[in-house]
Amino acid sequence: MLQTIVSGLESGSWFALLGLAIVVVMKAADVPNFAMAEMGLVATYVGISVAGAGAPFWLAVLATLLFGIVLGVLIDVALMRRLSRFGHFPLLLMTIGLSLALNALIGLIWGHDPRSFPAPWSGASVGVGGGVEIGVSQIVSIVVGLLGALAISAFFRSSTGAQMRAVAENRATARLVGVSAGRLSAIAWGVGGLIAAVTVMLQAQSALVSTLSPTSLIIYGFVAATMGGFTSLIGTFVGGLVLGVIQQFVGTYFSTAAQFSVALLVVFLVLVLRPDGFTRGVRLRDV
Amino acid sequence: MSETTEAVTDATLTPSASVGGASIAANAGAGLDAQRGSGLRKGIVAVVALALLFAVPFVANAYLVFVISLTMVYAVSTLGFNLLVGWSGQIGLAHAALFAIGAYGSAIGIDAGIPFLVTIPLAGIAAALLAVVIGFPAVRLRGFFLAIATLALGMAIVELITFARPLTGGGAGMNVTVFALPGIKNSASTYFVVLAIAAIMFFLVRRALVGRFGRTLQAVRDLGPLAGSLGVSPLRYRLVAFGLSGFIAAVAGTLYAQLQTFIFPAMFGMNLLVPMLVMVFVGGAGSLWGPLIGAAFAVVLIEFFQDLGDQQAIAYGLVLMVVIALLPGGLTSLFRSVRDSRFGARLRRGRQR
Repeated sequence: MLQTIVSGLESGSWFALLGLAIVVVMKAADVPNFAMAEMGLVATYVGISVAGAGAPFWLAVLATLLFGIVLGVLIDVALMRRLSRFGHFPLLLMTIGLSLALNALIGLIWGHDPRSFPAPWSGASVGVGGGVEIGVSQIVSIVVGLLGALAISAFFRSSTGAQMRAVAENRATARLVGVSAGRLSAIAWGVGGLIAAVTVMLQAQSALVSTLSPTSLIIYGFVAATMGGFTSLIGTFVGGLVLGVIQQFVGTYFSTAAQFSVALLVVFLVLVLRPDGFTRGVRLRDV
Repeated sequence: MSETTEAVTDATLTPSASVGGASIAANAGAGLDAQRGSGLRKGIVAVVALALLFAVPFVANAYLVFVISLTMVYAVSTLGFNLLVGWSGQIGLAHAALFAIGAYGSAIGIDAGIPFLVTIPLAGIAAALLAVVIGFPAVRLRGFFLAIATLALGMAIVELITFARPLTGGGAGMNVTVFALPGIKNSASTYFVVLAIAAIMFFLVRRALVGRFGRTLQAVRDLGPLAGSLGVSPLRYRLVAFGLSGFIAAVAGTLYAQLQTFIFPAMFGMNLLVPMLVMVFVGGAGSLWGPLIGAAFAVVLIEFFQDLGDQQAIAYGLVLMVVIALLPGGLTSLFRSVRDSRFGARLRRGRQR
């Protein structure tokens, strides 16, 4: 029981973090990034390669995080920014194309075999009485997830964060009052890439990742973001954790095949029961 | 090309939703006369094209017949997707699932003893109703929120198909009984059925969109709730767009099942939705003949890269990215920009003289 909850919170932290990455980019650049999980996977594989070359663990972590940031900024500058004036559709399609290309690129460079990112604490566990053992990497995932959520909400309260929200609400007006929309969207993509890298790295430290894993991760990330209405950071974070726990219970006591359907059901319920929370901020455009 | 289609396609390319409305209103009257004038020429072109397509099975090999059939099926499906995404401006992503409803609906219907040709409208109506149900919570959402909500519902439909094992064969898939016109061998028969249905769908959708209905859809897209002040119910039109696109998707799906002869749920996931989006995009969201161009582009791309093996996916992704980066208005915007360039203008002046 406790084990199930902890495992749920662990995977929930990944969903929550990826959901936060999606929301951050959505807030600043107004695009749902379907390539987010792949971005994190590329960064993680770079880190695994660095570690595999004999570098110490923390250097590999640093490489992962830096690569995530650089990749995010590069994608914004090279691909996304020039498309924003053509409306939603090309932007959406570009992130889909990017996810296909990145996934295939990973397969080409690193192959399709599952890999892990071994940490010094991988495999270690702590007994909490009653014969229940909790993995250290599970604790790390949950703690890092919590810290990440706190850091992001602090970031959005800073003046850069406020400017970012202004750009998302109305790009033209924000620019008129002297906000540099380009710089902000680069920052948002960088932050998004960073969080995605952290997410997949945490996942790779306690489980295996491969070119197949981004597909489900991105969907769960979107479910978490949906639960937060794509605007609320706290809603996204809590939503991700709840989703993780639900998933784990369904998987343990019902069937793992039903996990995906349950996630879809959650989206549907959020839509039907809390459409107001879901559309909050959007309705403004509807006059 | 007539003035009407120009007006339509130009207006749809306006990036932000609120700007296009005025230009549509201004162009609406101007285009009609020009359209009447070139109607005859267009009719001739359509008849010649149909005659050429009719001759295909007599001269081409089986592979080519299959590829052209597939292109037409995708073109019909894109016609519906384009109606939703391009004409009514709603990025609804349940299209692949509604396509699946058509494929499975028809296959199950045939097994239950219903003639194939009757299953086409039945599956279409079922999918139209389902699309309206999907659209109902979705119409209050806009842009990306709508996209994600409909994506989730579409995935849920495909999951349901997988779960309904007694009817659909579950994840393993099911065989489709192929309908054959009397006296014609199978592949050619399927080709003729696809050709006939595709021609009918194009004709009907063209009738619907070139005129009051199409313009109202665009007005709802561009003006949003303001369209209500013109006495138009935006909610109703957005739902009708959902229903119609669902109907067309399912009709294409029934043909797809005939063409593939074996269907399974994984066929209708993201790896179908992405090419569908590409087709709409390449054809130019909101154009009338774009779906045909988009479908041909996607089919050729997929068939062309099939020999690349491992590199297929990366080539596909890269081509997609390059096309979007270079032509954010779709492939048809290339033709337009050539036509509107000084060279194109000179050509047109020369023709008028």
